[in-house]
Amino acid sequence: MKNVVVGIITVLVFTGSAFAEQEAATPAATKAEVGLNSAYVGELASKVRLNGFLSQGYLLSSGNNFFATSQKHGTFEFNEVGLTVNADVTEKLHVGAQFLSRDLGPVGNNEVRLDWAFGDYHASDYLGVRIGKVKLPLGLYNEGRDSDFLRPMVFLPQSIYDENRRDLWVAYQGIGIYGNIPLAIAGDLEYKGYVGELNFQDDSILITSFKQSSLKILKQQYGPTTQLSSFKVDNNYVLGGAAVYNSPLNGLRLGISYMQGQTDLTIGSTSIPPSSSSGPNGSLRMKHKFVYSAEYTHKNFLLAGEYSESDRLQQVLGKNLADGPSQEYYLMASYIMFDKLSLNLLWDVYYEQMHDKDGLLFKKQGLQDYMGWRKDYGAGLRYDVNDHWTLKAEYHYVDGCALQMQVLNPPPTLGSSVPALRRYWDYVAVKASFNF
Amino acid sequence: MKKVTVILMVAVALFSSAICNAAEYLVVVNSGNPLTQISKGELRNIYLGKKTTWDGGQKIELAVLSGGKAHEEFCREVVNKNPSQFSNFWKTALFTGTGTPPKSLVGDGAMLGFVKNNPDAIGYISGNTAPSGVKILSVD
Repeated sequence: MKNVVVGIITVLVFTGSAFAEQEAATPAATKAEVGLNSAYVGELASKVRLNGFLSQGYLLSSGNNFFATSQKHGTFEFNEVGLTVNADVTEKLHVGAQFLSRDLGPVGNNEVRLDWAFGDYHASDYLGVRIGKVKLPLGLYNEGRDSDFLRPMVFLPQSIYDENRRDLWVAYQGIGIYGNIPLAIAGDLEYKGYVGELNFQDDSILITSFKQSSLKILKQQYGPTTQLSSFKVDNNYVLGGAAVYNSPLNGLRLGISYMQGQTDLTIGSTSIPPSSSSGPNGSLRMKHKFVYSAEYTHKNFLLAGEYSESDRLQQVLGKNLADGPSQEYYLMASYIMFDKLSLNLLWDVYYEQMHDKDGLLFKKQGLQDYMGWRKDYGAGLRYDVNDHWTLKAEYHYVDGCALQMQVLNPPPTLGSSVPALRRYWDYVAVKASFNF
Repeated sequence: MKKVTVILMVAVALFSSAICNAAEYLVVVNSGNPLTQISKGELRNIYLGKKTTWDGGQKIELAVLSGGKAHEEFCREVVNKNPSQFSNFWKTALFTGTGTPPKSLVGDGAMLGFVKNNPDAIGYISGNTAPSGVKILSVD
């Protein structure tokens, strides 16, 4: 909530300065008429753009629940509604904000949240500055991840753009720079850099997963009746950047993204002795995350591939939940078969530990080894009805259950600690979206 | 003889394709704009929001046609995207706050009116339209 207020204030301050500037530029003779002058109001209105989108999907899986209680009858708890305000205050100053309401199983529940809100000073094409809550540049598609019609398929490749961990990459609150450097006949280079903080949502699968792990450790340390009394997440910082090289070879672009950050966890329980209960007792540390990207477009054909490694250290109550790099990569091909109909194919791979691809570490803990990987083979159709409507339908076959799937597939029997996960499973996703 | 025939056929095909492309769209600017020609790379950078000012420092006023053959050809030839990819490119900018899409105009008449009335405007029209009051840029 605090962040929403900060964001709104940021927008109001910038918009207020716009109005002030506008008034200053108004000739004295007409200033007196400004109050109810419709031309003035019209001019202001012409500087402000209001856009939005909404989407509704249906998700059906067999074998495991996927993002929601998606087995048997499937789920319609799968939508996004966004309202976007953009204003060119001056030729160089732009302000904007987007309010987003989304529902994906237990996450979001259509609560309206501030997705982004920032002021953008475009000093030149070489350098601009953004201040506020800004979509985090990561890979080819992260910044547009919340608008269905901007994603080639219903979901972005989950290895790199995992929905369960979206809090880690959706947006930063801080300051960023960006620009484009022409390289003459060699093409051009776009760059972005940022430093700031992340905002975690209490209902995210990531946080739920850490709460579950913390409770499990607490029960091991203090007995089976122990309960969590509080769980505080506080991001210290995030910093990173992205560069995209647009080659002179038509349609080829290559990119690299980097990020690192540190988040403290303060886990409270009546069982924890007071002497050891002050200060953070857990942390999520992203030592570094690299994403290497390539995209090639030729006529009706698009091929995109990305490779990533995320080296992290996740500790709760003195125990390591994850230590070492995960590995992520995918290939996605899209072919426009007819004017508005395209076929999309996806091969998407994630390893929880890149040096333990057989999941032996999970096996040692008494869990299923296939919690150590997830390989998704997907095929889907996208129909762009017109500039406003998009329909998508796709099928995915999956081997493995990595990426927090234990949260929505809890142990089937009381006392068991092994999640009810099946190694081979599949899902169907259908979505319709509208934008204006 | 066979080789000569093949070469001639290829040459004719390339030539006719060039004529065809040249006839699909014309890039136009305000008649007060000092430019007489523009490279395809520069035009692409303008239409992808990477170059936002003219050399004199004025902000470039950008417009696209809402559809049609000229728009399709312009997207493919200049921006290297099909029309829906080009549209999505600007929607991404719009819905992430990182850019304002070009004005979308219906028909050559609206485009010519826009370019005539805006000294810093650039646009394109169908190749079979005879423009007046604007300057046609040759595209390298």
